[in-house]
Amino acid sequence: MLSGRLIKLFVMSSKNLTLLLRQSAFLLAFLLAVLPLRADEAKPQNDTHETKTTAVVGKAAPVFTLKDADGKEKSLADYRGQSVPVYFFCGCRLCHKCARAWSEIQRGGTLENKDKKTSPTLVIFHGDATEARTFAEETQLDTKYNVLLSDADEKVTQVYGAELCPRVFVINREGTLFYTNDEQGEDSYKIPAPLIVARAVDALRRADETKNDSHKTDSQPNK
Amino acid sequence: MKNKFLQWRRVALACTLVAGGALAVDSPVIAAETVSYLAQSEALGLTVVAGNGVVSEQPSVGKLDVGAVDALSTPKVEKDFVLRNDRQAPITIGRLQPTCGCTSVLLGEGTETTKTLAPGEEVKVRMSVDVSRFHGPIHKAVRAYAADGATLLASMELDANIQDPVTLSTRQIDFGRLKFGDEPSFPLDITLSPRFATLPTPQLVSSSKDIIVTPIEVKTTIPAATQDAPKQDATAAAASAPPMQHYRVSLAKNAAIGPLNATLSLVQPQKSGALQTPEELLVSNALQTTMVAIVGEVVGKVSLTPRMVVFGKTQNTQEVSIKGIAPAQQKKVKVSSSNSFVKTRWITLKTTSADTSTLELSLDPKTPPGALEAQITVTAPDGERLILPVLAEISDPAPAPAAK
Repeated sequence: MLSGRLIKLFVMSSKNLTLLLRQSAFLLAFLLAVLPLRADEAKPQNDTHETKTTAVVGKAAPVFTLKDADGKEKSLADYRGQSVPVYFFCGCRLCHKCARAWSEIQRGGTLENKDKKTSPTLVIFHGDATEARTFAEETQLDTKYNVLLSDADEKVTQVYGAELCPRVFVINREGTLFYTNDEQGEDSYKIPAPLIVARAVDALRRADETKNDSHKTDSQPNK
Repeated sequence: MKNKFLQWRRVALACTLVAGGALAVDSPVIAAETVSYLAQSEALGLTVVAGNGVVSEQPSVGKLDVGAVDALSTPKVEKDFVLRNDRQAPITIGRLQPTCGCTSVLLGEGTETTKTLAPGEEVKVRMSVDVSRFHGPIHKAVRAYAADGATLLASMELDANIQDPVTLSTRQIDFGRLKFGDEPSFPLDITLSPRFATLPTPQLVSSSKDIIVTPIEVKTTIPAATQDAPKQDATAAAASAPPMQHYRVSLAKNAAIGPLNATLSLVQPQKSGALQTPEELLVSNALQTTMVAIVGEVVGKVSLTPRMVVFGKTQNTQEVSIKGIAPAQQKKVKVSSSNSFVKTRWITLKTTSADTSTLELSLDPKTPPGALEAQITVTAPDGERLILPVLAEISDPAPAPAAK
């Protein structure tokens, strides 16, 4: 008898428990659906909210998508698997000198890898597509070697902390930021253009030689 | 037992409903984390005050378009923005970051580098842009960051269209693909700003000896509408028309083989021993943005691979292949370096083909630190020339070991 009563109680409890669990699961699902919406509403809509530089040597390079001179979207992720130099230019005299020096290096075949191929350079310009094209023409940046991107509102520039131009970053084939030209804390606009590009070439070569070891990247602290 | 179970179930359901309901509707009862997040975000963010040409479509973004700017008359554009704290708590401006080395910024009266604004308080931010470094449309900005140096508070943006002191008929001359010995030429017209009527006339010069610039004549263009006008009107029109220069840009007959990497720029003639006046210096700076790019390629029997050498930090030697010069011809080939710290010598590689020679470049260990730029000129027996640009960064030498 006792066992019968226990069994009966157990069965009743089980049914109730099942019902309770079902109701709780429904409510939990409801909560999970509602919470993220509230969290999003809690974030201010002001687009000048937190913008922190996340480009740190040795860490994954911030991914971005910008439009090229033809209006097509290009993403940094499109170039995964090869070392990529990324330049930020504003169009000032020093940017002109730097871009011209880099274009000369590209046309000189200095950046060819073992397969006789030259990795494309991403050129991010602080202006619209027309201004970017004008800059490329004036500095002889060949579209054969360069992908011209427009960062008119400078959002990507801010993410990379590349406000003071000219700035160059080298991202290795794993997508890790390998080098940037302010590694020694020097203001980029105080460095002669030949020095900027010579260091970038050297970094690109070393990035190609480094394989899958993030600790072998340039470990200079990024300010 | 059943009643107790039911009671617990009711309690659990009630708690869940209250929490869910509170989240679903606008209610002051919200999660503690969300409260602090909102409170924090409400305390950040400054308002850029609209007015005096400043347009503020978003509270924290102010734009000012100053339109056309003559860099000769206004080499520096200075504009003031006003930031205001419209929040309920004080906000500290930790730093002001210009987006270009050409832009300087002054906070308030210029005696402070940081400033805490009380609710409702305003502060002036003066942006100064050296526009003499630019031509055409420019977009410069100064961003205000909070005390942590990373949280953006406001963005002040300035647009301008920098007028060139000189108008060029083209900014690029493409000679195309040429054979060694060809001598093509192209015309180039330059229109000077009327300011040059009182200044020394700038001259067009080439960065490469292989590109020859020949002035044709200096004439004034008479507007067509006045050509049939009475003589005195036409003369007056001619006098008031901006001065124009005509040049012929040609390739030298013995131009070096390889890509043409040259620029044409305008320079002011300088009196020997005399310092430039402030106005001449201003013009000189403004002219630096006026350039014509020369592109093209000269092909011949010889060629270089690679066509430029950049030494890395750990490299002391580099090799280049010269196709078209057999090892037996090396003695008749002239090799010269523009920099005595860059040495050259012929070497023999097993992989070299019969019609190719290998030149080894090396850096002298005594090369002083800094940027090194040089050119190696290789002249073949038949006169064909190759120019190899060399670039290197020489690091500071390692410190000498301490004396024991």
